[in-house]
Amino acid sequence: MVEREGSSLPADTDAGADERLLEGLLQRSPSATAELFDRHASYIQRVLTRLLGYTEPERADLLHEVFVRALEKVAELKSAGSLKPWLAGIAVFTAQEWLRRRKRRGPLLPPEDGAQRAAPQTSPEARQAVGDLYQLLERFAEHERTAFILRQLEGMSLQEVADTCSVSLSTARRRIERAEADFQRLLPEYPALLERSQKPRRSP
Amino acid sequence: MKESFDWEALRADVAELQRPLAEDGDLLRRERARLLLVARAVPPRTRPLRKRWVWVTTLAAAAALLLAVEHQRKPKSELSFAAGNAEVSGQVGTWLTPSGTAPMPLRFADGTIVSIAPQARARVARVTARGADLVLEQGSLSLAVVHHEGGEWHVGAGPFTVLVTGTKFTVGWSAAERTFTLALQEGSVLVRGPTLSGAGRRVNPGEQLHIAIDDDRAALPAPSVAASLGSADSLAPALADSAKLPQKDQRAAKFGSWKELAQRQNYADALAAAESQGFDETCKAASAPDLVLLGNAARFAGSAARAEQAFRLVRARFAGSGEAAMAAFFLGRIAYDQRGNRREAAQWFQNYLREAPSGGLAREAAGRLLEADRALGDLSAARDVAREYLDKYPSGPHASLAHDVLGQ
Repeated sequence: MVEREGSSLPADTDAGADERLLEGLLQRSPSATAELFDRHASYIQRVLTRLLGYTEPERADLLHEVFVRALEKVAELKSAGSLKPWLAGIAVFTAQEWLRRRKRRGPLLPPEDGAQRAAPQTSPEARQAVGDLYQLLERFAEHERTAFILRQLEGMSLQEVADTCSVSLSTARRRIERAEADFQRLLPEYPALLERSQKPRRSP
Repeated sequence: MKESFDWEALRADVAELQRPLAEDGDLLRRERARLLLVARAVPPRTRPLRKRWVWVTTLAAAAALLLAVEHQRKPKSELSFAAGNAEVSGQVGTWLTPSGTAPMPLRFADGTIVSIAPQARARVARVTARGADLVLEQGSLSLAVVHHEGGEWHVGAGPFTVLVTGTKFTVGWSAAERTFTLALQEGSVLVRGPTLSGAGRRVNPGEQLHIAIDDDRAALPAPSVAASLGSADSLAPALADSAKLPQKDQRAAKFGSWKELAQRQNYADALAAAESQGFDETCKAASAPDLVLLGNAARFAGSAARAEQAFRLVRARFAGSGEAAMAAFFLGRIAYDQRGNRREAAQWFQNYLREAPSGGLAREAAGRLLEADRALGDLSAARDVAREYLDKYPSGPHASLAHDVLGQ
């Protein structure tokens, strides 16, 4: 499955529906809460997975936390149309907060441990490459890691990265550029990643 | 970024490898239900006010209101309590048994007094700013709970739970005879547990409740629905609803059967009974202790998935309770023993130890965490756990393993 190269945040087509949803959320309508989850949970779960990169028992708790925080802060949302990037921003904040907590205890879970629930048809080379990728990313500064993942793995546009991280476009660009420079510098230390990503595409 | 780097290929690898995680439909269904359960309790906030003068006015009004109600405010910190006549500061989670023939008093900072009868065994499982959760394993407790707005006191006695506001009563549980008793002097309490309807049984002053679990019904005649509706208790609507729906009562009657089977350690039949009644619905109607019992019945019956479902529900619905901590421990057992996922197991055991550092399963959880960290090759973490284990349990069953780890 190839992710979109361009925008990962398509504009919602029904602005009126977003307005109604926002009003319902402000009134704590259970149906609005259900609609919020139904419309955005898959996307938020994917963003969390990209950011965390592996299986964690907290994954469910983090997804829950994102939506609870969204309900708490929904009155701060400036525009119903920006609901999706706003939720993604909460997911980024929640994931970063969790990663900081997790790092205090020791090294993060190696990606290969999470591979036990990975798609069984993926090749060992792909698993190794992705495992290398997340190990490499652990060496990044927190904000650069996040911006890099959203841009390169989730396929967000630069503007979407900026909106999701609540920073200016130039800050988002700087973070990504620094991360890319680090990536190039560290890449030779991860031969499986280097090999996998420079070869012609193979079927898994 | 160099053009030679095939980002599309790597992005495809990541997407494919993470697909089972990113598209975990079971997780989404569980979390949807969990969110809907808690959504109403999420504190609502109004839209931010933009004009400065509105802020100033609002803040001034809030300050005045705070001053006006200051004397009525409840303390924000957890209630402290003293155990015994020596006024020793009480510890949450520690089992308490009077040493002689005199009862042991627990004096809480809000004036509430709990008296543990001789030969009884009980513990304070949790304290909050508004009350406490007590667990009675055996014998009887007498309580004189000082009424506060929003007070939250619960007593678990065997499979029964007593919800208290301001009241005086004595509650008893005999594990051997599987008998629950409650005598109310003042106020009112709500009792939930086997043989009672899902909404529970309200007990009024002067009444005594006596329930032998093997009996089909409670000894106390059912309270009239009209009387219940006439009270201001927020639980009254639930009681009225249950009275209006005979099917619900029928399900509640059946609901007792899986529990009886589980309590008789007939776990396979207990799980089958719960499945036949609808496992999801059974979980939905269950109290925290019931969910733990159901989870363990499923675990012993060999259904890790159902056990996990029940335990995760305990954590979602009763977060912060003693049962939620127990659920974390059992989720760790499942992850370790049945899933072989030591990383996840370590996290659950750590959760248990954080939530119930003096809990009844703390020693076992610490030992299991040690095993998991060692198996994962995380020697740094394992050594930390080993040192802490030996400090607390120098003769514990994992002491030799702890010494081994520290010697490595």
